[in-house]
Amino acid sequence: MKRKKKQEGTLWTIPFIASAAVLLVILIFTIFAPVLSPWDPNKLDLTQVFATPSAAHLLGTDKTGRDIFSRILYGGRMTLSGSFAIVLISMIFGIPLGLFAGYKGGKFDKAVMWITNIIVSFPPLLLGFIFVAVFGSGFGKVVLALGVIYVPMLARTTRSIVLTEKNKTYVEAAQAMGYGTSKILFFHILPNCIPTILVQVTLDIGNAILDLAAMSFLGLGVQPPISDWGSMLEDGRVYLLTQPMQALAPGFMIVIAVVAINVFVEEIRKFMNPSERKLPSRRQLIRRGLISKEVERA
Amino acid sequence: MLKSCVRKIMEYVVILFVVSILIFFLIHLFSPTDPVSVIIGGKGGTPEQIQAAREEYHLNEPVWRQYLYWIGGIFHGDWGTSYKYHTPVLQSIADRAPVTLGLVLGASVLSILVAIPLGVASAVKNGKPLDGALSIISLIVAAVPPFLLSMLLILALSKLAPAYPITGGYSGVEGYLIRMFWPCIALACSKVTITLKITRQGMVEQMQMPYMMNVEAKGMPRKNMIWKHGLKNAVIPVISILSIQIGAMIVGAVLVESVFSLSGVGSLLIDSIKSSDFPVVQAIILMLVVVFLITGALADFLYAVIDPRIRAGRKG
Repeated sequence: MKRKKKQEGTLWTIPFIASAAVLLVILIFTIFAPVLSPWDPNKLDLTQVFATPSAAHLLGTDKTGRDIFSRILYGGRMTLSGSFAIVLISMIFGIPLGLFAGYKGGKFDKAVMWITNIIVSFPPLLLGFIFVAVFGSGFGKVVLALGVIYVPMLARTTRSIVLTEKNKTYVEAAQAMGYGTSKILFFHILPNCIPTILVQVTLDIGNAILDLAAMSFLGLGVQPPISDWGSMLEDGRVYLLTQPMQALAPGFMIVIAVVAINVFVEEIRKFMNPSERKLPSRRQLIRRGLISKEVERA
Repeated sequence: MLKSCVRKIMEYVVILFVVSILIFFLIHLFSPTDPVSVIIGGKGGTPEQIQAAREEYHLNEPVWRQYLYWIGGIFHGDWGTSYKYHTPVLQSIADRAPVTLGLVLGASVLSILVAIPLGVASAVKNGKPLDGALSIISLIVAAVPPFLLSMLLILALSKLAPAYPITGGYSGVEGYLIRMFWPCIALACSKVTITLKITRQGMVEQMQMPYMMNVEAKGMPRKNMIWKHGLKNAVIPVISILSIQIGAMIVGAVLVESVFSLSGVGSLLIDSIKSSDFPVVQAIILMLVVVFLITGALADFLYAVIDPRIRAGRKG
């Protein structure tokens, strides 16, 4: 009998492949929007107002004859790049904060925890409203605001992993060899935190899409003529009963993107936790010669 | 018990005080908009008009003195005057409060009534088709923003029941209830999934506890086992998440109100932010912070009622 491999089980489950494929398609379509979109998203065509879906206009046109499909591709660029930027900002500040708070402990840790505790107890959108009230609205400002608002969550996740990592032998070894704190934190502890952080970060992208869409929907995010999925929803709201496609298309894009991200994360999380991981079936085990056919079914 | 209550209240007072200072000074020092232009309603206006506006709203005085006027006024029931409408802020909030209050309360009750039984059912049928179906449904529902769900509801209602009053005014208690029903559902749906997930998680844990085997061996009916013993232990994390959920619902109400064209506190907040109507913005935010603190305190109180261990811990 062969020795059991260290990494048993597979990440390649059907939900994982499906969600990864959906995300890949969305990413490709938004990144290559200038090449793939059939029309200029801001080109007015008053002869084609409220066109129904056809071969020329896949999803029809809006009140000024702009092609909805092209606008969705370009809107996706704003929504997705915005949410990536939000998460990137939260990583830049949140990870070092969590690392130092968890590693140093003491008063600094207490202060960080107290402040993040208060911030986390408020819904992110309310903090977003306060930011906009103080600094004014606009896409960049909203992205920056949400990025800062997402910092405490990530800092807390990072800190909780550091707390378990810092008592391990390799940290003691690194300390004994005389490495500085930042070297230990960023080159020794951080690599071990990355899997968990990545899961949290991917989940945050989904939340960021929803929050950003809500801000744009309320008219606090992107300003016309540029639009993202949230502001397209708001544009289409007025014509909901006569031209539902204009509002529903961007709406469904938000739902599909967020569902795909959540499934993707859930499958990775399951893989990282071996007790929930999808293990090879009995037949696969027999084929690989790991168990004999005579072994009774449990 | 009394001692810890007093300490808690003191803590809340300090938090409120700090928040009020933060909001006021941030808005008045950093905002790019000049309040005078909002008060007069445009960039123009004669020097006399500007001077009069500055006098009336104490804008000539230092910010810390303006803050003292504001915070002193709050205790006397004078929450400031709107820059844009020149009406008392307290009045406009009070006019719009019933809509938001009804929306949040109705949605909270609905989401609890749906989420807890479904969560328990999902945990009891752990791994069975019902559990799978519920987890797929909640995955999708969690990804639907409340404003999109509201639109879908409006679209469906307009096709299925064209006579139903979705938008426009209403009169009387009955009209209010009819008008609020669907917005409540839209708001509740967006918050059901997290409560369901937490309930399920807690119940799955409880079902594996040794005491469950014990009560089963004693011949207790399964219904009692689940609802009396299991749920009572599983519900504690649910309460802590509920108090956060109610906060999230107040924000969600902003989105639902705008789609169903209800004029509630949420839409007032957004309108005021857009038009830089600072007195309204800071009053509503301060009020929301108070609401969050109260729901948090209520959750703490509920823990103590449900869990005797916490009660005992408090005394010691």
